[in-house]
Parts: sequence; structure tokens; C-alpha cells
Amino acid sequence: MPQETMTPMQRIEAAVKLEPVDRIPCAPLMDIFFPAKYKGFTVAEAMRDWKKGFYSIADVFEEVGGWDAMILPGYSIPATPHVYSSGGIALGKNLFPGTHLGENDSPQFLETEIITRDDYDDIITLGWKGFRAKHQQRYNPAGEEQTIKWTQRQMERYKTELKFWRDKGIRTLCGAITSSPLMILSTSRTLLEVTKDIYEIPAKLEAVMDAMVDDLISDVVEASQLSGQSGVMLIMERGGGFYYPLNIYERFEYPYMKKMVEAFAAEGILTVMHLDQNYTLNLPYFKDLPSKMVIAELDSMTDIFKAKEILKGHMCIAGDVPAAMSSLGTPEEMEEYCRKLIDIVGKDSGFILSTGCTCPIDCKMENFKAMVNTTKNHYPH
Amino acid sequence: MKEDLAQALVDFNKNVVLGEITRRLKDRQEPIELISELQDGMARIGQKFETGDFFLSELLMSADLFSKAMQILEPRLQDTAMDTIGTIVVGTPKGDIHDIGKNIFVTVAKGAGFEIHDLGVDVPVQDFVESVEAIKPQILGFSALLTPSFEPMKETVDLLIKKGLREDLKIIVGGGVTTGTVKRYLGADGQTTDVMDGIKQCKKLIGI
Repeated sequence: MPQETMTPMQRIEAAVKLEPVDRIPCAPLMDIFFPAKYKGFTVAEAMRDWKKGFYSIADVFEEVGGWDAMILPGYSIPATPHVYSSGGIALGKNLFPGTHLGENDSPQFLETEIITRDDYDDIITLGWKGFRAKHQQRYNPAGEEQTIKWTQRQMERYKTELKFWRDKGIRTLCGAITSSPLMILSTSRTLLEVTKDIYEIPAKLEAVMDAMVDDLISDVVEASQLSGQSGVMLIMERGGGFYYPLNIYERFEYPYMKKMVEAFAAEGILTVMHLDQNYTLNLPYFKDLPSKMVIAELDSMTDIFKAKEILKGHMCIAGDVPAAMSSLGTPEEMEEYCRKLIDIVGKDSGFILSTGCTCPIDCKMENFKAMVNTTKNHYPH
Repeated sequence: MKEDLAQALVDFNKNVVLGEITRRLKDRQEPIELISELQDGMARIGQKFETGDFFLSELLMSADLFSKAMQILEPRLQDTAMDTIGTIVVGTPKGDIHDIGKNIFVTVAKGAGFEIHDLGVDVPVQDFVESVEAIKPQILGFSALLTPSFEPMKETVDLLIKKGLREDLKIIVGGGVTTGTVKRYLGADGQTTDVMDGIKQCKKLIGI
């Protein structure tokens, strides 16, 4: 068992800065779904009741003896009137348990065309903020006053959650959430329609993305200032080599995400690149992003061992316990995989052991414990 | 002069594909012959995907065009039976409404010559079982993006076993969240996160 000489905050800071650690830190991407189910509530119940939902995460934290950091605090979102009063980060439709889905279902995203090609001229003329403001009623019929109140309440709760973890000695990495322009358009127009845009009207799509990117950056800076946490989750699930060849990546995803990450770094904001799907082909590009200011958070589809080879000495990697292993595997399998990650990806620091994407709702507690405990019990370096 | 329909599909040239189909149908060419040419195009696309020359985006574009072409051709088949290489029943299990991957698989599998019965998303256990009972496919495919869909899949497999329907049936599971662990849990015959690999496995499972 490694001798602990660092606090969780020091450990996570060192891992991000690629400095020596006493052991590998653990930071699961934990929302309310697994804790709620574990505590015996329905998912809808946990979503309706902030206290019940949020504190179920805290209960799981206590029960496993704690971990080192939160990627997001767990329940609320870092909302700002700009971003959320007119329809969220993307404008696509989310379905929630208890309202659109069964009481115990997972929230899901409905792939539907919310923005059409006809909207592109408006985005080009007005920018992303201007477009959202103009079409607020279309995406969020709740009314401006009501939604601004909602965003304020979300942000207040977000800050309460950040404080809760800080009081426990735990840092939350992200004080804002955003997506790349391609990810926003893909989820707002559907994967198929935005892919057609790429092939059929590339110059126009590029102009749309040009009109979006500065607003996305200023939204994050604002949210980060409001929450008081200098970090952002940059969601990019649909722009990588699983979907698109590199010439498309180089034109429609990489320049925008690079601009965003560099602008965040200039403001002292750490970027957690939430990379669901396989980004193995795109890994070499990440070497041009600001060093020690970015975390590549992988979901088990990207080859994490290849990521270590390529990004070693440049950026921290987080991941990547497969969701299927959490829900169907055994504690022994979990420990074996986590040991392998610590041995290989954890060599020379720059690694945070985490769930691949979010901790699944049907994660087995004994598996989750095995993941957390392996970081506490195993550090061969 | 006839355009190369298969190549136009590979180039996802919508105007040529749809224009050529309209023109040739006017010239009374049999729809089945046109479908055969389009399937040749889908096979070429599959080869390009396997060699890494094509990515999912190109597959998506071609599959969408193939689907549009089939919307014109299928109603004109009337009593002409299409040659198929096998029958697949596919769906996303109860609790999961994701269908991007499934829909691409469905179109590409049709292009490869499979007869497909797509049950859609959020499919109850009973619907899978009744479809297998009625259609008697060689393959049952589950598509999933969320872990809670593992249990309905397992219940489906268990019920198929109970009803004596599992023995002659091959089962494949696909989707971003699936792994070898899921395959073992279900006692499935195949698993994939890749559309073209899924088609390849399906062919192998029925001895092609």
C-alpha cells in the first residue's frame, strides 16, 4: 500500500501538472443516477429533490472512504442567463425520467433536427448568443423571467455543491460546461444532417462555426467567473476519427477546439476534454494544445495506452473504466484493469483514474469500491 | 448512356443516383436490377471502409442515399422477390431510445443483401421474442448505448431459451457501450462497436 504524503487537492493538482504524486488520484465522473439507485430512490425522485439527489452522492463518497476529486460536482449545472436561458448548451431535446421517461430510466438525448439549414444565415449574422436570444421562445417557451430565475438557482446550487466538496478537501475540476461548435450543431441538427452540411455546404458551415466560437468562449469565461471554479468541461463526442477523416477534423473540429482551449488557458481555465467515442486517430493533434492546462478524459473507446505514449509529458489523461465493466464485471476484473491503468498510464504521473464517461446507473457498488480502492492500494512507481 | 449507379453511390452523388434511377425506371428497367447495382455500390463502400479509405461519415452519406433510392425502388418491386442472404431482426431494447448506430447498420445490412426487420427503439422483451417466433430470422441483433439495456437483452435471451427459440438463432450485440463482457453475459454469438465489422460477423455467423 502506498504511503500517502499528499492531500487529495495536492494530488490532483500534481497529476494535472504532470508532477510526481504519492499515488494515482481517483476522480469519477459521478452524477446522481448510480447513487440514487444505490440509496433506493428512483432516478426521477433524485432529480426532483436536490437534497436527496446531491447528498446521495455524498453518501456514496463516505461509504467508499472518499476519493480525490470531482469532475463535476454532481447535481446542478453551472448555468448563466446567457447560456441557459435560451435553450442550454446545445438546443437539442433531452428526455428526463419522471417527465418524458419512466421513473427509473436514464436521461436520454433525443436526436432530432432542432436547428435547420435555414437558421444558418441567422447564426452567421447574429452570432451564437444573438441567435439564441432571437429564437429563445422557439427553444425555451418557459419565458425569460422564469428561466433567468432558474439559471440563477442552478448557479447558486452549483456553488453550494462546489463548497460542499471543497469543505471535504475535494477539488471540483469544472466550473463551466460547453461543447465544440461541431458537437453543438451535430446534436442540434442531428449527426446525419450536419454530416451532409460538411460535404454539401462546407464554406457555409465554416462561417457558422466562425460565428459561434467567440460566444462559446465568452460564455465559459462568464460561467467560470460566476461559479468561481477555473475549469471547463469541453464536450466533443462527435468530431473525432470514429466519425470523420482527418481532413474534416482539421477543418471543422480541431481549429475551433484549439481556439477555445487556448483562450481558456489564457484565462487560467483548465479544460477537461470530454472525449466519448474513439479519438485514437486524433491524439497527435492534442500535443499542440497548451501543456498542463488540459485533461484528456477518455471513455474506453480511445486507446488509452496509445494516448499515454503520445501525450506523455504534455497533458494529463483521465479514464477509462468501461461502463460495461462497472455494471456487469466483478471486483476482481475491476481491480485487474485499474492496476493495469495505474501501471502503464499512471507511470510518471499525469493520470487520473476515472469512470469511462459517467458512472453508469447500474454500476455495482462492489465494483465501484474496487476502482476507488485500487488507487489507494496500488502504486508501483 | 447509362451512368455507373454503383460508382455514383460510392461518390454519394445524389443527383446522378436518383436521376439515373428515375430515368431507367421510365425506360422500364426492372427495379430489382437497379437494387442489385446499388448493392454492388454498397459492397464497394464496405471495402473502402475496411481498408480505411472511408470513415463513418462517408458510410453515413452513402447509406442515406441508398436508403432514399430504396424508398423509390421498394414499392415498385410488387411481387418480385428479392434475393436475400439472410434475415435479421434488430432493435434497441427497452429503456434506450438511441438509434444512430442501429439505423446505419440497418441500411448497410440491407445494402449487403440481408432482409431486415427493424423493431425500432425502446423495444420490450416480448416484442423481440414474438418477432423471432413469427419471422424466424437467422440473427437477432441488439443495439445499445446505455448499460440499463443489458438486462432487457438478458431477459430476451432467457425467454428465447425457455421457448426453445435460441438454438437455431444467432445473437449479436452492438453499440458503443458493449464489450466482450456483455457478449459473455448474454451468451451472445457476436459483439461489435463497428458497423462494417457487424455486417462481417453476421455473414460469418450464417456461414457466408
